[in-house]
This record gives sequence, C-alpha cells and structure tokens, in this order.
Amino acid sequence: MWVLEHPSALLLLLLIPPAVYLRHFWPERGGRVLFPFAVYNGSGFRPRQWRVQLLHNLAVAAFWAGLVALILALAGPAEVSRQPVHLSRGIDIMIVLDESPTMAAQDFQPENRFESAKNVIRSFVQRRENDPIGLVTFAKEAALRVPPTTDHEHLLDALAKTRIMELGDGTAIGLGIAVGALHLNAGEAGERVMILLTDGKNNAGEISPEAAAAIAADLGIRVYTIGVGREGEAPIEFVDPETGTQYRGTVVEAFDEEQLRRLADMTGGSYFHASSSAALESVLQSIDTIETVERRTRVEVQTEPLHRQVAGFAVLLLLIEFIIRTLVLKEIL
Amino acid sequence: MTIAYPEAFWLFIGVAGVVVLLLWKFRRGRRDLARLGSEVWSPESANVYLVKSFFRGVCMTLFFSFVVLALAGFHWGRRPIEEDRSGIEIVFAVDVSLSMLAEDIAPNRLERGKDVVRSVVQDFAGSRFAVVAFGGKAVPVLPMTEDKYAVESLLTVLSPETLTAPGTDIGHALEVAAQAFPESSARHQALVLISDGEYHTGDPDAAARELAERGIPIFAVTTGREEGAPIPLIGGGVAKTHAGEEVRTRANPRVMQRLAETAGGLHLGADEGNVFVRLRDGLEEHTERRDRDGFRLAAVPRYRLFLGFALLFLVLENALRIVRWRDSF
Repeated sequence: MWVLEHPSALLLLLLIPPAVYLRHFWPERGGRVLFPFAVYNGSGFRPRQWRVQLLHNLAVAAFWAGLVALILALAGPAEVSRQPVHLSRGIDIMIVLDESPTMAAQDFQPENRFESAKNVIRSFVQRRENDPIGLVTFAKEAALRVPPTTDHEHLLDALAKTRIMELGDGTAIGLGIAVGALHLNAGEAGERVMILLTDGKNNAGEISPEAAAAIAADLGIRVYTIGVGREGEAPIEFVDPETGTQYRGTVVEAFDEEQLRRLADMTGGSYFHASSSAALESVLQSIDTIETVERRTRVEVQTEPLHRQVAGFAVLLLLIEFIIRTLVLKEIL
Repeated sequence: MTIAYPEAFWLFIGVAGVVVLLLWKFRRGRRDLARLGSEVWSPESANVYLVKSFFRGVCMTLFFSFVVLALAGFHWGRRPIEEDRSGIEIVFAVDVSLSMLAEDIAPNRLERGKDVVRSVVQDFAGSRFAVVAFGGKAVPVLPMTEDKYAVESLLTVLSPETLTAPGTDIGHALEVAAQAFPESSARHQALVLISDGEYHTGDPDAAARELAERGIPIFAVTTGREEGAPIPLIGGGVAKTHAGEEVRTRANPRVMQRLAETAGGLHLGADEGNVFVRLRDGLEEHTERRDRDGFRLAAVPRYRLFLGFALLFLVLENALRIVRWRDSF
C-alpha cells in the first residue's frame, strides 16, 4: 500500500496551473525575443518543422511532469506493509524421518515413500508458521539436519537435500528418537512434540526404541509415531549416494506396528498408520489439529520510503528537458 | 550526522557537466543574438543577457546540487520508534577465511572467535542464535534456533574447509546475516561479527548502514593483531606467494571499529582479557535499554529540506526566465 507521509506538500500542486499560464500563455512573459513588425499584417510565426515542434513539446511535457514528480517526492511517498509479529511461543516440533533404503519402495504415489513423506512434511511445515521445527534423519545412524527453528525456508531447503541411504543401511529408530529428544530438550519450549516417520523395524543403533522413548517421556516430549507402507510386496529402486550404484528389487519388510504403538503410548502421543500418500497427508493434518497452541500476534507496520526513486525520476525528467533545450534545440534564452 | 548513500556524490560530476553546458549556452547565445542585429542586440540588452544568464545558471546549478544532496540521504537528529520486544536473537557472522588460521592470538584467530561464540551462547541461555559462516561468500550454516547443542556441534566442524569460495566479503556476510533474523519475531536483535577485518570484496559499510536502519547493532570482535602473522596451512607449512615470499595477514581493527560505530554496537579485540565480559555486558545493555525505554532511536532523514531547496531554485530559475527585464527578454 502506498502512503504519503507529508501530504500537505501536495498543496504545491495548486501553483502549477498559474505557473503554466505564466510560462506559456502570459502575453508579457520573457524568455523570448520580440520583433517589431511595423508593416507586417499577417498572423505570427509558428515553427513549421514538426520535428522541432515535437521536441519542444516533449521538453515542455518532461518539465511539468518532472515538477509534479518533485512535489510528489517532497510529500514523502512510502510503501507500507503489515507484518504479523508472533508474541506467543509455539510448540517445538522435531520431525524424525527414516532414510533407510526401504523408504524407496514405490507403493506411494507419485514416486516413493520417501518423496511423498517429504512432500507431506513440507505442507505440514507451511501450516505451522510460528512453531520452531527441526529435522532428524536416521538409517543406520541418526543425525540432526536442522535444529528446531522458525526459519522454515532453511528447514525446507535442508529437507529437499536429504537423500535415501546417506546414513547407511539400517533402521535405528532408537537413535533417531534419542537424537531428536536431545535437541528438543535444548530449547525452552513448554510444549515439545516429536513426529517419527518410519517404514521398518528397529535393527541398528545402540539405544533401543523403548529406552529412547522413556528418555523422551521423561523430558515431557510427546512422540507421534507414523508407520509408513502397505502390506505385501512393493517394487523398490534407489541409488546409493556413496557408490552411485543403482539398486532394484522388491521389498516385503514391514514396520513393527506393536512397537510403534507402544512408543506412542509411553510418551502420551499417538500411533498412526499411513498406507498411501493421501493417508499420510491426513495423518499429519490430524496431528496438526491435536497440537494447537494459543497464538497471539501483533501487526507491525513497516514503511519503506520511496522518495529517492521518485526524486530520481523527477530529476531525470528535468535533465531530459534541460538537454533537449540546450543541446538539441540550441535554445538561447 | 550520517550519509546513507555517499555514492550519490558521484552525481556531482553530472552537475559539473551541467555547468559546462550552461557556459557553452551563454557564449553561443551571445553570438547568435548579436547576429540578429541592432533591433535586438544593444549594450543594454547584452548586459541584461549577461545578468539573466548568470542568475539563471546559478539557480540551475543549485537545483541539481540540492537534488544530489537529497539523494545522498542525509540523516541527523534522532527520533524514537516504538518497539515492544523481549528476549534476544543473536546472529553470529563468523569469518572462516584462511587468514583466520593465523596464530597471532592464541590458539588461533578462528578458535578464539569460536570461544567468543561459546561464551555468548552460555551467557544468554534461552535466547535464539543463528550462525553465518563467510569467506569469499557467506552461507547461513545454522538457522535461528534455541538449540545450543546444535551451535556447539557446528562450531567443532567450522573451518576454512567449510566454504570453498576463497577471499573475504564482509559486506555479503552482513547481508546474509541480516536475512537470518526472522521477520515476524518479537525479540530484540543483535549481530556479532567475528573477523580479522581484512576484506577483499564487497561494501561492508553499506550493509552496516542497512542494519542500522533496521535497528540491529553490530558487535564487532576483531580477531588478530595489526602486526600480522603468517598463515599456517592445514597440510603444514605456511602460505606463500608465487614468488615464494611468506604471506602475512594483518588484522584491520579500524574497519571493524567503523562497522560497529555505524550500526551502533561495540568494538572489541578478541585478545583483550575481558572480551567475554564486555561483550555480555554490551548485549545485555542493548536489550535492557530497549526494554526499559520501549523504543529505539532512529536517525531522522532530512531529504525534504534539500528537495525543498531544489524546488525553490527550480521555480526561481523559471521566474527569472518568465519576467521580462528592461523590455529586452
């Protein structure tokens, strides 16, 4: 939105009509050479060359437009934007995402489990504007990708860069939960939530999922567990990021539903099963509705002054006028 | 008094061009009028032409000069801007260029700088931190977070090998650091710049003015000494030029001092014994003062004064043109 910070300066525009009269129509005006035509009886001269006339009109237009722009700049034009400022603190959310090779199973449309999980997480993150969200990924090892942050752009960048099997071949659910809990605990949030997405059984890592969930429960972190995948066989295809070898095959391995349910119950969270992209989407939507927090926001008004642009434009027009008159039309007076 | 866009002063070259054109116009005009013969050209009208041209030329020159001054963005005086914030967000811009490996302060410039970061993170528990690493270009390596473990584990891996772009661009670092502050935050904001002040590209002063405009102070911590030191390489030995001479890197505390002053922060030497305490006190004072006052002071732009004068001289020039003198022109 555009505003003028000193609109009273626009009153100067009222002086323009009389100024136009004085400059172009007043019979007594100067800046001209008057010839006495004692014997001449016809009408006065008009420059007949249309190029000269055009340039002259152009210069006149540039002058008055420049003057108007200068007055406008004096009125302090500015662009006003309203920025919501969050006063309340959101919930700290840690997303713990399985990166093991089986996540490449193609039973999720359009591509595979991993890519559709990433898509669904992306839209989830965009709905949680005020909540610091972090990302932990795990396979054989677990690693913090992004600490809980409200800089969601950064988070989504990092999410897009994750690749299957970057952390080896395996499923260390316990490590994933433990790393997530450690980094959630570093913050000051009152409410802390972890969302675990996996498609396999725990088969790696030094910490058992139950032990890790006990730590999380101690720290007051609710863990939502999501089992991803369909019963039965699914085709699988992925590239090992380290060697570049392409793997193809079928996967029959399924997650341990009982264990995931147990982990959720231990921490006061819930367990969900997602057998398709759409199901996964609705799971995250329901977590979104469960985990709500009172939001207090204030609108902050930011003004971006634009007078430099307008003044620059004005002086450009006036410079054009000056150059046409002096250099092109070779005006004398 | 501060000048936001000193580069606008280059436009005075254009103003000089206008003066040359005006002189040329006067000489040509006098010659052409004389050709029109005695009906127009007399000693008296020549006099009018001289005086009129002179005053109109002066007005025109003053008009363009004042526009340039308006565009330069003069600020003086201060006005309060209401601000209701609590808590603090700190962005660390950490120089990881090769020169930060110099050992003129113990253990070396980079490690000393990391200690500064660690002490701030410790002193301001519950605050949010972000880290931008920079060399030839700047990269946000840690987004704004409360997670102090993430800061610590990042610090252990931060080294000149983190970034591939050689050189030092403090200006870009400040720009990227400014973006690391979340837009919709209700916390105070401060930037801690850790560098030896040696830079090869970019315009850190413009970036510092931008930060000052947003009310974000720069706490500049200079790592290294002016006497300089050789740069040890990671593989052993020291950096040498093609001619085989040892490269010495000299810290430039004057640059750091200037940036801190521009953005209203504090300048500290990393080798001073009390640097940790002074930095903490500086940051605390910054938040406490703003908390207490509920406003921050921002410099008042004064462009309207200059634009007003410019308009005045433009109108005057036209008035001089319109008014006929002694029945001449």
